[in-house]
Amino acid sequence: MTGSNPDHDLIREYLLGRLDDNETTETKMSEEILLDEELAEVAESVEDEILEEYVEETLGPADRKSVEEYFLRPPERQQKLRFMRILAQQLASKPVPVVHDRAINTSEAKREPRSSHGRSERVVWWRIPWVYGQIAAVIVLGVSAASYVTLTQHKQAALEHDLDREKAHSASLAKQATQLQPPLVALSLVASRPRGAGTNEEIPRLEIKASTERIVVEIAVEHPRPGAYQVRLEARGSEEPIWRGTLLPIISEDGDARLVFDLPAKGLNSGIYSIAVSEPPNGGAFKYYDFNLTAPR
Amino acid sequence: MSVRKAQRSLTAEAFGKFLRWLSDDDEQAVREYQSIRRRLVRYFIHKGCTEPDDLFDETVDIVVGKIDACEEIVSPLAYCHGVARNVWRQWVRRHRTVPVTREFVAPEPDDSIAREQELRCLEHCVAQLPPDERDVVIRYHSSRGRARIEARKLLAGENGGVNALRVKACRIRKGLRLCVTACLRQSAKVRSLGAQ
Repeated sequence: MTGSNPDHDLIREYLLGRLDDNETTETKMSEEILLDEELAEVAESVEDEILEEYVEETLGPADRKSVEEYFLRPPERQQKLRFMRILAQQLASKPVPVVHDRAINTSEAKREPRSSHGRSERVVWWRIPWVYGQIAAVIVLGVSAASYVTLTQHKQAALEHDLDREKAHSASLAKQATQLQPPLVALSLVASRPRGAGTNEEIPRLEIKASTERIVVEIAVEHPRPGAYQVRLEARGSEEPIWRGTLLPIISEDGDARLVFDLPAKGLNSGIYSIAVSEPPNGGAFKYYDFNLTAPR
Repeated sequence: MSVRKAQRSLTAEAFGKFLRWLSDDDEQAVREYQSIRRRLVRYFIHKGCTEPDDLFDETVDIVVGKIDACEEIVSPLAYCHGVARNVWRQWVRRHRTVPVTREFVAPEPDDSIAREQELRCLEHCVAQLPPDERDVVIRYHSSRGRARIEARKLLAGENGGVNALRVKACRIRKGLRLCVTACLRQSAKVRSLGAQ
């Protein structure tokens, strides 16, 4: 990047068409972006930021107007907007780690100061006549002992409170760590068996976490046929499919065909599952792709 | 949104002349041409033009017409940019009175199968990302409101700051867009096979 990089806000103004009436600044900006690929990348990221804010509806009225009347005119940006929407819709429902608030608990700040009640009473009692001295001494000792016990109890309560807070913090961090696990896991299946055949070979294993929401399945298709494939998920020993779908295969540049789809992970228990695939035209025999799932209890 | 005009195309002769102007070496000339095209199309997009590719062709047409009269040009890119700026100004004058429509505000495919396929391709492409990039894109777009703000703060801390994170997320999304486009193209091929 050049040494005299325009700042983020200026790039944003440029992209929203607000520098068009300021020829000197506009020319400088467009030349810098034209010649400096790194700056062009920054400009592209600011462009994405504008689209994000538009999708999230967090733009102010003036910016929104500029986006709708200027920024979104090129078809390329409309395509980017569409993609941004799809991405946001698909991923927005995912949980994110909650940042633990490390601010001092207000209840801690409000914790009662050490009581001086006993000591002040003791001062009063020292002022009464000597004949009551011994009685007073006993009472003072008693009050002091009570104060000491109260103080100790307060300290213990404060320690217990701190301990509870730390436990809550640890639980929050553990939850955060769990949520950091990706909500998608991938499962690639290659070998199939006909219905009723035993599974002699070791079947693929898949472990999902509590945070796993979906399993992205990829099945290699040999000799792809035109048309839609019927796919269903079955648990071993159950005739009733848990999930079913109709899919078109994705074919790579090399001609390799795959069925790619995602299954909901919630509600799946540990055990052997099969994905049954029927080739088009519909009604063909199903091939079974088994996998061994380990799910959290 | 205005209907896109039929794609203009340079004549082979004009195009050859433009390439020779860029470099005597064929490979170098093509590389230069691609670089100029990418940058100027981007320029027209930044300027909010509805037909950036056509405006680039128009720019090259004008440059080709001036090549013979040109003195030694130090930077063909800077020269083309100067011409492109004039092309943009003319475009603005032509489109000043064009009413703005908002049909692009919520462009959604009507075809639910196409939409489903698009989502499947996105899933496929997200799953294909390297784990660190997948983590960034999922956490970047996850959740809403306050939780999202906090998640992005955390991500920015892990990725060298807000600006670095923004550029990284932008790069990953760009890769995803290309992957989804390629995936949809393949699916369309299969569908057209099925229709035959």
